[in-house]
Amino acid sequence: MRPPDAIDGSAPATFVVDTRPISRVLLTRSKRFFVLLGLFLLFMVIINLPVPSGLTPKGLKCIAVFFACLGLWVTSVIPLSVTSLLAIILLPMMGIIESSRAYGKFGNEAVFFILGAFILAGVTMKCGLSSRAALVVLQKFGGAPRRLVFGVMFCSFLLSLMMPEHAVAAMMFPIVSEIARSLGLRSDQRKYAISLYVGMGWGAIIGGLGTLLGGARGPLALAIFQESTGGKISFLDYMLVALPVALMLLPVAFLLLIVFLRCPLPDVGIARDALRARIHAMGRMQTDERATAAVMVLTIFAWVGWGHHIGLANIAIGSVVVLFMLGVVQWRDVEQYVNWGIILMYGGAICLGWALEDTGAALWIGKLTLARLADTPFLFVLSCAVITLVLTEGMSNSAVVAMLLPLGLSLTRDMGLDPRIAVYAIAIPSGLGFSLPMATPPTAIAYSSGLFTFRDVAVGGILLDLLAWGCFILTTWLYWPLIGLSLMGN
Amino acid sequence: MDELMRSASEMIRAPLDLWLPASPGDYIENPGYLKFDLMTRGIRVSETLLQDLHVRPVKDSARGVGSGIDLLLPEDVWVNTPVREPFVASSPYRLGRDDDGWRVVIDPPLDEFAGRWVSVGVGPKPRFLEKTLSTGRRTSAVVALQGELLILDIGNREEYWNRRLSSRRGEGLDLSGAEAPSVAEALEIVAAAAEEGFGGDVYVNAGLSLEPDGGLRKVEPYVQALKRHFNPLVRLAASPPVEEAWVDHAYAIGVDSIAYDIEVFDPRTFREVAPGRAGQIGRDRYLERLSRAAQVFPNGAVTSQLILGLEPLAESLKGISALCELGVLPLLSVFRPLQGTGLEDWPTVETISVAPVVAFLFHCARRHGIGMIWGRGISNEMTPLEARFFTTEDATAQVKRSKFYRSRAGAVVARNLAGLRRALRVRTVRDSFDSAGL
Repeated sequence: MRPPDAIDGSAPATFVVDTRPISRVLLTRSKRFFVLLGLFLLFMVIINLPVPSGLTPKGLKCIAVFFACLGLWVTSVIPLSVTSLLAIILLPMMGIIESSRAYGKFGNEAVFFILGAFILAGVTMKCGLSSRAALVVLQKFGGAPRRLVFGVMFCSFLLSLMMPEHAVAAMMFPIVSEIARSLGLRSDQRKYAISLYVGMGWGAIIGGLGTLLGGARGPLALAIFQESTGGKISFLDYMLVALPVALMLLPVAFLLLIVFLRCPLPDVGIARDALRARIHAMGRMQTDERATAAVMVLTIFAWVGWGHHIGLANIAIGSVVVLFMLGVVQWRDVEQYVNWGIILMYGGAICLGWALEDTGAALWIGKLTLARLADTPFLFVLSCAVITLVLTEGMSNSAVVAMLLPLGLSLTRDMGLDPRIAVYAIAIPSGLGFSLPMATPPTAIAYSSGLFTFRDVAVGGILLDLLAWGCFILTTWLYWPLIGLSLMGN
Repeated sequence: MDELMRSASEMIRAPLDLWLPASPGDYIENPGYLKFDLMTRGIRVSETLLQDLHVRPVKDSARGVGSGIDLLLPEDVWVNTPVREPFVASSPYRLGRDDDGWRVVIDPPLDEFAGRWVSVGVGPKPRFLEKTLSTGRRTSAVVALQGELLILDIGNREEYWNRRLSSRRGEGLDLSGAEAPSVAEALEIVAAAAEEGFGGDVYVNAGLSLEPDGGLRKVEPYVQALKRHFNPLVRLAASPPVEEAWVDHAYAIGVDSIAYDIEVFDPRTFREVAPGRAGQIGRDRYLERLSRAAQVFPNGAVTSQLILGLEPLAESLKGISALCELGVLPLLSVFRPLQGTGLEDWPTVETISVAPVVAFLFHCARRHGIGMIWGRGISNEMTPLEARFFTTEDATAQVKRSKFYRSRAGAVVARNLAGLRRALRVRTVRDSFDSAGL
């Protein structure tokens, strides 16, 4: 996303001057240097340690690379994608795996599934189909103030089941802004505007949990799982486990929102008129929209029905090719909508995860950490979910998956558990960051309205984190056995 | 004066420390009093002396009106004193010269002190001012050297002095023919000045601008080119912009010190004396942008001029206090009535009557911890550090710092520190977006 350029006499949003005391500025600016130095020293110390029992020399080197990358992912002193590239070059350079294998892992099916999903989402946004869908759904809910909030939330939820949550939030943001503006809210109704923005963010996050399309963490988890175990999890399998959690959370989040952001309710008739005017301005559905809608519907059916046999990535890329053949998308659109950094990040993370597993390093670390916390399968799931949830509030959810899943997979095998449990216990909670703006892109986009601060939604957000964790645990306890996911050892 | 003393004491919550000379003849012994008196009354100097000797050209001062010659008083105090205005004829001061150098001599009407003198320096006449630029214009036609500052005037003088826009002070003046230098000319001049040891401090005057950017867009190519080629300390005088982001922008592009000259603090007098600025910019915008600038720029690098004599002195005291509270370094100049202008009959102030205000300037700036070194080398305004001469304080530490930064080594240190500070504090919005992963 680019900063807006100045027009006419308006100030150019090019520079920001940090006016904090110089000591704090210096500390912030030197953070990168000290973090890099610290991680380099840590790396050097680890590779020079005597090899502990139960670990191979390659495993020790892999742990050194893992901690270096972990530090870089957590602190974000260099972009996540560049850290992944570093992992790819370090692994062969240190003799852990061969270059050809390291780069080969980069071409994982999940990477191409994410690429396809990004392109499909981009086309949906570019042709206006997603905006039209959002406006139509919102108009249905626009009759009463609370229904309107639920409408915003539901709309974000629904779209995030089919496209990345950050794209949904970015697309919904101007619509929500227009609704809030058209309502002409009084100062005592400020909380109503906040509930619209927060509802948009929370709706997108919850929807993003439900399928593999809501965020790239799901496909990443599947790829790490596939590389480590050789097993496969289909689109439908994942949805069957994840969607109930999302469906449970949606009403819970809505109730929390209206309880914590109570305020005098505005007359929303004007907003409905604004939405109607906007739909009217869009005119009839164009050929591009119809074609995109048809391809999207077919793609989702194919993922659900034949994903296991044909392959998720093949379907995604195939759909993209069809869209190009139909002429509804140009390559420059792809360049605009695809986040290549994320693609690079996942390639490296998959490679590192595989190396950790292959060298036995993941199992060794897992035994030292997670296994000590959780000596029963249920406690293992509980601990994985808690650790993931806490970490995801402070760092990228994909980085959390890349970091924890290799350990989790090794432990499940060691405990004789179904390794899919580790995938779900980490991939699903990694999307449950509702409080902090850095937790997930939808939250960050909602915060960017500038209408509220962390304190305004802190209690509600933290409570929703806890309730989300509770919902997830409840499904593991009551629902998982019904779909054949046993927490009992083999 | 007692009332002023009381007000000043209340504001600094301590008795005002004020040094008063026994008689007007003693001004000559005190560089602060002498500067102020010379700014107010001017100095008599024969045309022959000015033309025969190698002194700087008698240059328009104060943004294009009036005359002035730069003198270097004891204690490194620069003063720009009028030489051609009618009121100069009654000045007790005369510029003389003998074998030992230049002197400011007291002549009648202060008969009883006649003959007292003090040695002064006269701003040397650098060769670059006499050069013809590659565009065919004379350097002295587009820049000036005032105190230690090289002045690049790129604003519209006529607009500045136009009654509707600015001030009744300039009504009726003929200001045609002063065209701003181009960026290429500015670079050529600074290159020539640098060869003679000038141009380390460049003062860019954007004049009065009613554009939302306060004239910054016009200034930007000059500042960027100067920074890229010579890296001088750039001081900018501009109009306060509509949006505060322009203040940040000014700092980010390389402006090291900024001045939004409010000139008059009292709201009523402001409206009366500067109806154009009051109507189209407004006093509040001056104060708001000064406040932001004080957060963005280094301590003491944000200045605002108050003109003594245009408003009641009690209001000037309030103005100094308000500016200091914002973290702004107030600079005092004195009102000089010009013939043919809207304020030609406006009464002038006596040096002795403003002494409490000037002393207050020093105490107030010090009390608020405002750095005073950025006021160095200014000849047409009284700086807080020079205002120490109106007190019994010697401000040793500040004076030593100021002297250091005036040295060649100090100038290098100042430039590098300014660059380092900018590198640390300025971030591009694109970086912020990228780091947020959006």
